[in-house]
Amino acid sequence: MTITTPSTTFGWILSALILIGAVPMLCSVFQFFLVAFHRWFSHYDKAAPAYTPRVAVLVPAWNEALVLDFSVERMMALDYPQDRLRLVIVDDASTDETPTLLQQKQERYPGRIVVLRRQQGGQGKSHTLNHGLDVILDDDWAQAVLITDADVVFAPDAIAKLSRHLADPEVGAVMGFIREASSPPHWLSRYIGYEYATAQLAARRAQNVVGAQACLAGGAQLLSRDNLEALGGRMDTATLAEDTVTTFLTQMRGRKVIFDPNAQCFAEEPASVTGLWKQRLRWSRGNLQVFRRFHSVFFRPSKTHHPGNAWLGLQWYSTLLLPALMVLVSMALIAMWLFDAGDANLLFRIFWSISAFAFVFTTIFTLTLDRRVAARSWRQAFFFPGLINLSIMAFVIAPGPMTDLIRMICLGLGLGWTDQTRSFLALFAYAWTSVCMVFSWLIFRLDRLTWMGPVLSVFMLVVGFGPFLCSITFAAYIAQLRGAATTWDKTEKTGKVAVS
Amino acid sequence: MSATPERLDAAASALNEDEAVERWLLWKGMFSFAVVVGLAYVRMRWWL
Repeated sequence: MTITTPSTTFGWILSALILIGAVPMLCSVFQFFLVAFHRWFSHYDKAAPAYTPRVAVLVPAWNEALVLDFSVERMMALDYPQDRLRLVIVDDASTDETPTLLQQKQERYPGRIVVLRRQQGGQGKSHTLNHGLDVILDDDWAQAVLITDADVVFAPDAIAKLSRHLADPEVGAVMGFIREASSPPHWLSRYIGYEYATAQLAARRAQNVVGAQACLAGGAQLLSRDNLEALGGRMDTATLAEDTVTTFLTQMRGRKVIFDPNAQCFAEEPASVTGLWKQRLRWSRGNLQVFRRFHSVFFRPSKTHHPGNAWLGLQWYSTLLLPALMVLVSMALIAMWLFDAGDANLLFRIFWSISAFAFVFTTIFTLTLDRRVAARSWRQAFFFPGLINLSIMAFVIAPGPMTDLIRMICLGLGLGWTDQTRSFLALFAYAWTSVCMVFSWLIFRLDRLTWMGPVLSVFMLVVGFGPFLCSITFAAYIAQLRGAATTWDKTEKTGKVAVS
Repeated sequence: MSATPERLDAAASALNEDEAVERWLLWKGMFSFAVVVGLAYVRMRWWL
């Protein structure tokens, strides 16, 4: 292979754009390098296993009768001193059996469960949490508040494992690992299970290493009373990502936010493409809102806090700008092809080689992080980028055999193997990084047709779960630009969680 | 459950086990990286 350099300034600019598109992949690789060194940067040496503060568990609940029975029973059976754990459930004006169920639970566990009811609900999770926080912080019983969701079920030792870190007065908040545990596992939940391993077990360990967390887990966050009071005793209500706002404010006030991967809890995740789309659209829009609010923090290192850390900034920009970068890569490759097909081919191979090696490294590392995730989701891990992206990666790693295979397929389909065919295939591959997002959106639209259900898993296999998530971020750009209403869409849960 | 000596022992033991989990991360990372290096070698040796 002969390596040539672009002969024009325009060629250099296009090359730079394509290489900038590879930055998120390189960031991801660097993140996993950081994970390898977590042993030396974890907070375990400052944790005190004997420290058991009085914990108020705050649960917002709106029409959660299907899930509360199981989660409350599990909470009452936790391996934590009973006189130091209090469950505070805020019923957000539920219209189902939730009030009756909560009354039964209160009678069964007198003095251990507090039920608050809002007369007017539907304003969103933050408002419901604030209702509970007002009551909890009104007396001095609680030394820490665990904010969770009605469907989240904790491992028996999870709260003890979270609270041991609060013995360090510098720690303002601790979060655990939320394990996807839908039972029986749906094909979509298997993808989510793998994604949670990358986003939590890997990413949050890396963030522990650099000393700055991007976001507290909404369903498993333990906050010290001191920290909550320093934050004004309230959750942010202006954005869709109150947990991320809490994370930033906690760290900017000089307190640490810690992730403990061994404090585990179990949650049911959306089992429909539409449900997942709505949930992630809310998260992505929340992240954009947070980015807008805290943009001045990124890339500005401070002596008092770490969110200005360069790597965390790169991670934020990479995640938020990924869809835009993928569109840019496609456009730059096609523009380059118009001027010099050879240069375009070379840049295409460089871009996809980086992607392929990053994919192999991060996938194998993630699967070694958790045996249960590996057993449950190894197929989804392999197909995470989608069959077409995998084929492109295989092409850049083994061009000879893949070219033979593609030639055979083209000849078999009667398309011939001419310059025209090869140009068409090249352009398709160049455009795919952005076109795949359109196909992902089509999968979301097709979910409305109930008879399409069984076929959607095949479509997802071809297009990829990664591109699907990327397209949701793109949809979030559009929703924010349009100024769409910031409403809270509740994720439907059925209470089918396997705890082991 | 109250803060009994048994509970304290169990909590200390859990902390040790959790630290042990983290000790494996470097090896896991090295294994994953070795696979990538091997793949890159195969790529350069046969298909450059």
